[in-house]
Amino acid sequence: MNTFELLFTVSSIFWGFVFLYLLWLHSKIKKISTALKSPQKR
Amino acid sequence: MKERPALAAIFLINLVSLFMIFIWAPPERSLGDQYRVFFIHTPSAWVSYLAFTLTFLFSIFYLRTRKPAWDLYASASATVGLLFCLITLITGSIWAKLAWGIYWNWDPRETSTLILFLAYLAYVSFRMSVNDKDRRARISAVLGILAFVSIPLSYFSAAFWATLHPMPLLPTAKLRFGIESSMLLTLTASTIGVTLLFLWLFYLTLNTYRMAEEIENVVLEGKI
Repeated sequence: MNTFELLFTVSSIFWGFVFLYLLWLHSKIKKISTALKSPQKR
Repeated sequence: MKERPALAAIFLINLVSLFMIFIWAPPERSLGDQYRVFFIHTPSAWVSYLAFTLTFLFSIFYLRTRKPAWDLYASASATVGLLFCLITLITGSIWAKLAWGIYWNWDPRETSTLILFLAYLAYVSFRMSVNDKDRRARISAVLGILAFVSIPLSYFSAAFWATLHPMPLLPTAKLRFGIESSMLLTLTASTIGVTLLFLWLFYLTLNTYRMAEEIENVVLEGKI
């Protein structure tokens, strides 16, 4: 692995985990909005 | 909080720090260009310590005042801290492979950081598994205080035990850090960038937890 590949890997790990975290938060917000919409459906 | 300008500023600072890490900072004498992992690893470690220290403080505030808001602050801080602690462990093991030739060798710093990660993983897992709000807040505040012990254990492990990990970067009497000024500037820029990123993620997490709590309250009151 050369230096560029190494730095690219490490940066991808950093930003990849931040992105996954944002996805997890997004799924939590989606669950909340589903809970809010559910009584209107009934 | 004006979200878009704040987000643009965080993005810009991190972009500048990436440029400094990849291109601007000079190569190091023994590790060459590979030492640049340090500029991602060290700020992540600092932010995880910051997040867990905030969890400790918010937990104390909760136990003193019993205001549910402090419990949410502590929880949000621990969750984001866990993310940065995981990044620290992974980037640290990559750096260990470059410097020592092995990804993981149970070095005191590696082991104590793993203990730190597991302590706060237990904290977050506990919160996810208990439904009773008061009990969850009370016990997790105690856990947040107890888990804090692992921070000095991790930080000072390089000083307490024989380790291959470099000593913490501390200024000398003449305020010199023992690294070149351009490297120090790059480290400062990346630390500011990662800290601002942490604050933004903390803000998002807190808002999400707050919304979830409000829904829970409405459900408990029987309005839904």
